[in-house]
Amino acid sequence: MRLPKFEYLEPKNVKEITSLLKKNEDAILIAGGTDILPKMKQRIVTPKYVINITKIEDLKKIEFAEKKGLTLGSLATLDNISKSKPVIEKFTALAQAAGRVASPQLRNMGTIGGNISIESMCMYFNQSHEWRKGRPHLCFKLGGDRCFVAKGSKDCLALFQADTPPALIALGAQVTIVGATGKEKIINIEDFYTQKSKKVNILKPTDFVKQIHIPTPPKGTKSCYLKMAQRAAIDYPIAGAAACITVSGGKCKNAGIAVTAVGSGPLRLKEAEEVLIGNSITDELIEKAADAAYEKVRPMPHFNISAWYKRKLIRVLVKRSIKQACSKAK
Amino acid sequence: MEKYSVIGKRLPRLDSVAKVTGDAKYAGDFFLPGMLHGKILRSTVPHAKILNIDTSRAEKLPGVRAVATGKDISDIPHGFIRAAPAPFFLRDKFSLAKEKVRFIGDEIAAVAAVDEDTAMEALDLIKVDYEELPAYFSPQESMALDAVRIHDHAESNVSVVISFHLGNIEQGFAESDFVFEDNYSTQYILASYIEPHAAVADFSQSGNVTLWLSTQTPFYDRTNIAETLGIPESKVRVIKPPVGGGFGAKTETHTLFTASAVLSRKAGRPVKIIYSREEEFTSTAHRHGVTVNHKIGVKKDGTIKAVDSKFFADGGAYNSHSAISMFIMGTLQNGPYNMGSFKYEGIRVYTNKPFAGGVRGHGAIQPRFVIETMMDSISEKLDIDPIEIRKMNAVKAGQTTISKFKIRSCGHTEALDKAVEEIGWKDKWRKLPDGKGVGLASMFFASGAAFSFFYDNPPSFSGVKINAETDGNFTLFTGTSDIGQGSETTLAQIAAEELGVGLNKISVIASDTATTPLDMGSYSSRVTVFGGGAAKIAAYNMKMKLFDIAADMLEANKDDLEAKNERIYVKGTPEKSVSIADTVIGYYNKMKEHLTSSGDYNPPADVGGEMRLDLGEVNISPTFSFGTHATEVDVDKETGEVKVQKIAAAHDCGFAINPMAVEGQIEGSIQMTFGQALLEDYRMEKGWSITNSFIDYKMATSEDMPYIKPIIVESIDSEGPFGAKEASEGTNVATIPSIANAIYDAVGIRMKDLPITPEKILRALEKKEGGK
Ligand SMILES: Cc1cc2nc3c(=O)[nH]c(=O)nc-3n(C[C@H](O)[C@H](O)[C@H](O)COP(=O)(O)OP(=O)(O)OC[C@H]3O[C@@H](n4cnc5c(N)ncnc54)[C@H](O)[C@@H]3O)c2cc1C
Ligand code: SF4
Repeated sequence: MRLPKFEYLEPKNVKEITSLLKKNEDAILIAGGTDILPKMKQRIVTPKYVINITKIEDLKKIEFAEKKGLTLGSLATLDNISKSKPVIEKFTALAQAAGRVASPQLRNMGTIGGNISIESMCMYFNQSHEWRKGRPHLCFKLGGDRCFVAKGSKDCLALFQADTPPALIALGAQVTIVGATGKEKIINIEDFYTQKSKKVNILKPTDFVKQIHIPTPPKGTKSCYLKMAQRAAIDYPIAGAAACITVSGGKCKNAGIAVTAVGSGPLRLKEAEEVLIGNSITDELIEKAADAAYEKVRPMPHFNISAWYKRKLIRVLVKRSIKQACSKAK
Repeated sequence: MEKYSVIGKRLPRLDSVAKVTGDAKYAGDFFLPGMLHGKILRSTVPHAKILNIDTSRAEKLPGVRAVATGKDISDIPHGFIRAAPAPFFLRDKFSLAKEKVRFIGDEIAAVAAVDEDTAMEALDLIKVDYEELPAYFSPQESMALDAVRIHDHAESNVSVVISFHLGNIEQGFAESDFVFEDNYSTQYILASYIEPHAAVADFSQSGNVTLWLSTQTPFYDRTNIAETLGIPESKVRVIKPPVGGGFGAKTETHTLFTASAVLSRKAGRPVKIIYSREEEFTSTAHRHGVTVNHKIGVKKDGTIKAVDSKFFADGGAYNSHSAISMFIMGTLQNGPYNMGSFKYEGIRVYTNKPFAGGVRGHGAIQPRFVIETMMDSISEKLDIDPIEIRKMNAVKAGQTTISKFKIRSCGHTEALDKAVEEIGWKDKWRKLPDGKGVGLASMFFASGAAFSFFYDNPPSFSGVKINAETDGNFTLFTGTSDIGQGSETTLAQIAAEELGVGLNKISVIASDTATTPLDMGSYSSRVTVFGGGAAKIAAYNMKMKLFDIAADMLEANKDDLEAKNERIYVKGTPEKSVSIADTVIGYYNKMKEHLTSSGDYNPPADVGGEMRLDLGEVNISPTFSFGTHATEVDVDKETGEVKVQKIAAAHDCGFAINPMAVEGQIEGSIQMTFGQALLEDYRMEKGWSITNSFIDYKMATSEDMPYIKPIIVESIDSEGPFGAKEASEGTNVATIPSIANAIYDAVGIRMKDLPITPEKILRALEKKEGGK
């Protein structure tokens, strides 16, 4: 499959990104390109302009200072993040999540900005142009009147499967978005997502992600991300869960728990967090938190994976990620 | 002193440098002046009559040079079986649809244009009017009483039925103390070579056409292309450049091969067609998915008395190998164990899906999964050690089975012993903690099919020619197809050993229908025994011609000569010798003609014969390989995940011409069946292929692969060259049941439906626990 024709643009700094986005309608940003290039080949996106932002060195940095916390330029690669010493030590879940994306080659290219910005996917949609055009009906995502995944559904149910967002949510990350005026807006990563499959994030066509920031966690904090996929590499998660636990004086002071690949966006599981906060963590309590997670999620089936199985996995992964985090937090 | 100097050695393949450096030129790498790019228009409906095809707008599109439809090809359909008695002779596929389309992806028209984009655009301009027909996506639907026929000739949409009965099954069951019965199912899988199909065709003004094809059967393609174009076979030249894997699917003459030639003829320019990965998924040959009902009768002591086996296969839209597939699914159950008595019925049904053909382990993978899993249940029920029950029922060298297979050599027991020892069976079986387990399975496989089901009167099953050069080098011409397994190196090693020269003295020219002798192709694990057999004979004949001359030159008796170290010696008198190069020159001087030799391999008289697929009593192959896999797994009882820790894979290849190549075959082939066991799941919905890329079709990656310990067992066969047998398809036949049996040892559940996904394991575990 070949790429469609497009015009190629290459901003040299952050300001130029905004001006190019403003000037050219129907433009798309390309970072590592690992997600967007296959989609262009499949003609899922056929932009007139492709804006390659990878020449902006400033956005590739991974900076950590105890006081300031961790700042990841949106172009920091997943490979660099997964191998960064401060990330491994203080933000373990993120290092683990970044290190489990796709494959070594794709992690060398793929960026954190791209990873949090990928769209939801569906087996009826993420197909070639030839395949989609031959089908007798269009689904919601293509402007049609139905969803093939669930008959009778009123909306698109495509699955959000990025690995790093649950880790970022659990760790309390913030995203810096630059808008059309060039003004920066800082939001919690949770608020970056719409929980709508048709367009999973809040980015407007003229917006872009500049960086991600995570405050240094308090002492006694440990985190963990666990992913289950059919293959050990080159595979999106069937389910993924991140837990970040702060233990102090034998009690859980704070907890962040989030999951991916169960719905239209990454999902923070407050119900599970609440089970833990304020209590001393025991195996029974962890089971309870996992049960709360199980109760909360309502996954959709995906390919040969049933909703039943995804839900079961969420319980196991939430349990295990809390356990692993706690085993280090003491 | 070592017996051999070139064979039995771990030698790098002749093509390794070219492949590693990217120098090897595959079919898709060929560019000819003025070459056009072709694309295929495929059906978007699963079953329909074609009322009209309007290509006028496509033809007018600037840049389009030719458009072809079913009207541009002859009325001779193709299929893998061309020469067999009715009812097995059923070729039913046209390269471009004539009247009907039978699956989504079926080929309707082909376009050649100045570039790919223009060709794609032209496809959009072709208008096809269909009259849609009811479509069926499972054998059950197809066989329903009110179903319409997918092919006019096929009543109830049955593509073929093979049934036979060996010995006395009623008596066998009557004598049994226990009868075990179970149902199994296996999935459709894709052969998943890394190189997609590619073709470059150049039809010259003189009416000859030359093609470079990514194929494993260039001679069959030549015939199919000639028949499709309606021109004599001799006008078609097929060249097989290096091929990036075929695994059976490239034994089909897929449409791009014929369409590129048809388009080239129409346009008067060369045409290249390469299939996209999506086309590979939607439109090429798959492995048959089957449902099985299996009954085994045994004595208390574990002796097998009777087997009653019913196979129901989803054949997809066309016949392809059909009768052979169904025949071998039955006959290949008659080993490595004696079955006492055996009854088989194999029914292949047409459905509106991509067709099923021959894929590595053809016809053996499915029944082996069933039999070896059942052997495990039986041994448990009878409280007999799973190793013992396999040994006591095993066939032996020198024996003839009830299916009339002549077992010339048999390394089954040795393979079994070595595999279980390597896995640490004694300390592990039933002894590992919950969630961990070991399992084993044995297998056997044919070393090449001893039937000519394509040609009525082939000159031989495989031919080799050798030219001698005055510098002491030899050029070996073979029609065999190296598709990545390294067979050119194997043949060269055999010839080099026979001629007493180093491997570097042999150049191989292979798989060019205009210059190399006829060979049936790379399938049925035939190349080493058949092609290697021919190479050995040709090399021997060459040696005898050289000895005739050398005997004069050395003033010695021909019978006293030997060839080694690139010289011809008088045995026992090392000072009397002459170089091979000088002998060649001596030959020229004396005979005034080129020095060439040829060799042909034909199976021995007790093999093959009339292709009566309705009889189970036929010796299908010159000789048989044996093997055992012993596997260790971890099962995560909470997630259902299976982690295969290790596979000890022992394979009796008779004699390893190149041990490194045999090990490569074992490891590579396990990657395929490992995937079929646990991962690969070709999904379709109402005839639409859903898994159209390797992100969705879960072929195992290097990270998924377990540690594989290949173990070579040598039984020195009396028929194969230097004692060699196959090491190509049999090498992975035991993988799936060995994993399934290990899962049973680990967590006590019998998995009978492939692939064994974590979800299925979890459901089975819950059912088991719930039942407690
Ligand atoms: C075979 C395969 C397997 C994969 N497996 C996984 C997996 O297991 N887990 C997983 O999470 N992902 C997976 N991916 C998806 C992808 O590789 C990763 O998500 C990767 O991190 C994307 O980053 P990128 O820089 O390549 O993004 P790109 O492809 O460059 O961009 C992705 C999207 O984000 C937008 N974008 C990029 N940067 C910015 C920015 N700074 N501001 C605003 N928008 C931006 C782009 O416009 C585009 O829409 C896989 C992809 C492939 C091809
Ligand atoms: S979930 Fe439904 S609407 Fe969304 S892309 Fe898939 S089929 Fe279309």
